[in-house]
Amino acid sequence: MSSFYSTHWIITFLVFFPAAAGLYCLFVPKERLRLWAFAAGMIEFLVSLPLFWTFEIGRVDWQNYVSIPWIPDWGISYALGVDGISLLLILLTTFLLPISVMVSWDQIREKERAYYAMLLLLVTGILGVFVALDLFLFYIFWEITLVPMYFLIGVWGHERRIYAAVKFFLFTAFGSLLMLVAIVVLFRMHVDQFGVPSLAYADLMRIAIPMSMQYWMFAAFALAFAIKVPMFPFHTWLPDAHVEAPTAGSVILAAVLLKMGVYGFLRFAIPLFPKVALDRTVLMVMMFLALMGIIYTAWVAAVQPNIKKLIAYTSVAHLGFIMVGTFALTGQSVTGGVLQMVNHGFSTGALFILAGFLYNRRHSYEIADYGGLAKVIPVYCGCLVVVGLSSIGLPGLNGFVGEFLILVGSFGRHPWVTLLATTGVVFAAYYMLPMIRRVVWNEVTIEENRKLLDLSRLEMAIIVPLLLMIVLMGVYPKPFIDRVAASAESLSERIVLAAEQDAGGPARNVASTGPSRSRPATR
Amino acid sequence: MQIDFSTHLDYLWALLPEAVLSAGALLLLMYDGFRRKDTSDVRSVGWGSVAVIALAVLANVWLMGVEEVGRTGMVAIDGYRIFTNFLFLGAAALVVFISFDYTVREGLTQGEYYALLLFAVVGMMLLAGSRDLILIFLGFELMSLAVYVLVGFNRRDPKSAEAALKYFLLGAFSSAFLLYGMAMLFGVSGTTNLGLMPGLLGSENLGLAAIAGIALLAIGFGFKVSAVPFHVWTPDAYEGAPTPVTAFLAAAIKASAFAAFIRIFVVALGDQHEYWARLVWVLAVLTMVVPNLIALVQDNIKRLLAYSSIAHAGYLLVALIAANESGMASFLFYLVAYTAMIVGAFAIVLVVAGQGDQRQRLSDYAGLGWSHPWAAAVLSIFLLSLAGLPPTGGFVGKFFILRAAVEAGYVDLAIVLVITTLISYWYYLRVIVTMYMKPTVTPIGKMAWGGALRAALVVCAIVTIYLGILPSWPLLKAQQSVEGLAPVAEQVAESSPMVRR
Repeated sequence: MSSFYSTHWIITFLVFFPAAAGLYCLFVPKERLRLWAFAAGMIEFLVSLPLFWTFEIGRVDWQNYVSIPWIPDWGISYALGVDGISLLLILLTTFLLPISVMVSWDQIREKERAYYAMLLLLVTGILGVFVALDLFLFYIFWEITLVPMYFLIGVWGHERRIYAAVKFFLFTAFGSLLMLVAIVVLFRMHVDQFGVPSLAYADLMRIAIPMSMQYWMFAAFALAFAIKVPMFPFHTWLPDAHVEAPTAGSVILAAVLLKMGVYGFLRFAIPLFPKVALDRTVLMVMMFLALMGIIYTAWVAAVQPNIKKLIAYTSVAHLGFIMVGTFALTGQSVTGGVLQMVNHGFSTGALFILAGFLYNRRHSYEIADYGGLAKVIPVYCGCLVVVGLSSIGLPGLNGFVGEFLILVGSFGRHPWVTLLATTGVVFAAYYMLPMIRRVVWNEVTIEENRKLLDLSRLEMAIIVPLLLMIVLMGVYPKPFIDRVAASAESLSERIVLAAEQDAGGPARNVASTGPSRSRPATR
Repeated sequence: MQIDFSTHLDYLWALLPEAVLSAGALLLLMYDGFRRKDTSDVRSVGWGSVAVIALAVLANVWLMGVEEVGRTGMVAIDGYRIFTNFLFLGAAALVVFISFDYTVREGLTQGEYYALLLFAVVGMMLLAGSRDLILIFLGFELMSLAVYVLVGFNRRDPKSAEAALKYFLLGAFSSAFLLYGMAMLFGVSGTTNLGLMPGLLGSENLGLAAIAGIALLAIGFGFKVSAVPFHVWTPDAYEGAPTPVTAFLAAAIKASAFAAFIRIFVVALGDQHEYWARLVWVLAVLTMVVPNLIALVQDNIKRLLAYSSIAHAGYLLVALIAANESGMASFLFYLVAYTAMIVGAFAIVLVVAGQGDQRQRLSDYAGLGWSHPWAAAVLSIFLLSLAGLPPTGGFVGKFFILRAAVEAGYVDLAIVLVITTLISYWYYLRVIVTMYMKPTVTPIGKMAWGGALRAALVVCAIVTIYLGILPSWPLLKAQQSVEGLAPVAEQVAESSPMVRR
């Protein structure tokens, strides 16, 4: 058993089990389908859970690492590994899987087989992204997530679902295709410099990339990830996708799928091009976009009449925070960023689930359709208030820890940015609290609302684990921080060191001629 | 066995697969003349053609063990030819399989259908496997004449006749270009042999006649591979032709024209790369951009796939212009993937269309995903592969082409390729949207699949997925097939006795 958790088999199992289970969903008898989907989610979660303890705290290199040649001629391998940055994201994904399945029980009434198959397949793609350590493999998993999400929005979504699905697909595909070109260029550079093709993570770090190319290639990677995050001004696909997606789709989209973008920055874009990432101009641009994300989208969120759209914009704002932490590149700020990714996953996931509960009752996401619910469905409203407060970062709940770490970590290096970012916390209260006020308090103005039922047992089972996590991470974040900190610190140190290194080494000079237009083979 | 082309018998051995096919096709024609004329019996001709193809495959396997002496024989016996031969035979077999029920359904019960298919394959194999301009031209004509008839095979359908006429007129037109270009190159170099041409042409200071010859050849091939702006015949021909023939046109015929294109331009005219690179660059960019844009507004699925296939010609042109070994290997690899996915896609189109090819509009596919889950799922796989999404063969192929382009320094083409790929997502997704996200308009009812077609579909789907997940063996084969193909120029010295006649 212990060897299962110390080798790559646990990771391989976690990545491919959902896809296999999803395939099985297509054939399982209809009456047992929901149970099976839930069982698959639970198995996935329970199997992944011990990872939290078997993970060695303080170790900075890869754990559960494996590298098996896959396409030997191209030097492409099936390389997986876990570190502090990916560990929590993996666990977050597996934690949310059974919850998403349960959420769907009430909401999805037609074409269920395909639905659960797509949901599970999506998880395979996401987990693959978080563990892949070969750029080719990473790209494949990255693209695999597109199709299931596209179907989840487009088939089981609301009125404008097709528009939202296609927009989601084209936006994200645009970024990743340009990244593909950059990947091919990297691939070529490795052949040029080392004589053998490779896209393995460790090998990529050794490539000396001429400065002129670095900017373009960073831009290509950054665009792909920034669209996914999404950073301002690439965020316009997100509100549409969220509003139209079914609840479970929104949950996965907000809680995990967006994190793939941040993870991509942390894992690939910044370490591959440290000089560019710490270049003054680039840094200013990224920080500016992140701040715009925090402040502008907070204002936009404040005027949204639609609950889901409001939550979607808060997502953009929160991810702006995370991006500030990511680009500040101190151990603390990166730790805070990773932690905040997990926190945001719980809080926003819970918010979307609660919005979904309301939708199940009244078939409306409009804030104006509610009001005074505290008298009718008190338990529900209690949950909503707690989750809302965690989302705006009330101390004692999870949101506070991550934001605090980000702000503390970034302050030393970028005091002004941090100062401006802090105003985002105020704005968060400015959009979240009025929404809660208008939904929960005041008088009941619409007669229909008087007959609403409070949370059912199933709904309690869904929301309680999330609330527990929200409180737990708020009052005792230490075990989580411990697991992230070592990797985050070593990562930020390595990057800062690499960026400060003298650029004029011999290897760089040789490489700086760049690929010329030649036809090597036919001469 | 060694072949040095010292006797005429050597040529027969070197052309064994072609000879087998031709003989088989003639026998089939004879058999067809004497058989009972009823619908059920046409299957026997079909099975006969499958047997002939199987024999040709065996002959091709035998050819793998044959060594040729020198590299200037009229007929090449190299990995490139053997690889493309397998490809053409495989594509032909798939097309025969998807034709079985179609021909019965549409009342095309003449056995000549299969014989013509085989003759076309002979032409293709000659085209890809010969090292002589004359033979290449002969191969072209042999292939084209057979295919003109196939396109117009459904005589009762005016669309089919129109398609055949258009295809015939423009095909003849382009043949003239080709022939003219070949004549000019012959005039300058004094040889039609592609093995000798690089040495005789010289890479410095090419004269006007040679440049004109190269340009005319490029235009001629542009017509044949339907590169923009020489593509106008393609959508009409593809739409009007019987659907299996459309699949054949899109996969094998395009592939063979490309194979010859590459053999002439990369291998023989490789040293003149700078002269033709710019021209082909423009062709490649146009061929990627224009059809992808036009396809956005197509409502007929066959036309949509036709434009998609033109766009794929653009991607293959990128591999051609890279003109290095990975370019040629990526070309071969992509062709395998492309053949599987386009034949598969057309097979589904054929089934959905139903009696009399009624349902070809995109709106007919509404709700297909839920009324006929298998058909829609398999078609989705093919479409996603055509779009180049992992984990399918289309993605690995595209990655390979991108790699070749970047290796040759054509990052600009790589970027055009990915941007046009993005555009293409839109119309591939449109089909998927229609199938899965729109409610059914008119129920399709039960579809007539037929066992042979089902088998062909399974093969296509497996190949598409296999190439995406475990591409290493096919990649290796593709790379081995083109090894030593390019540097022909150095090896002219050890040429064979029958070279200069």
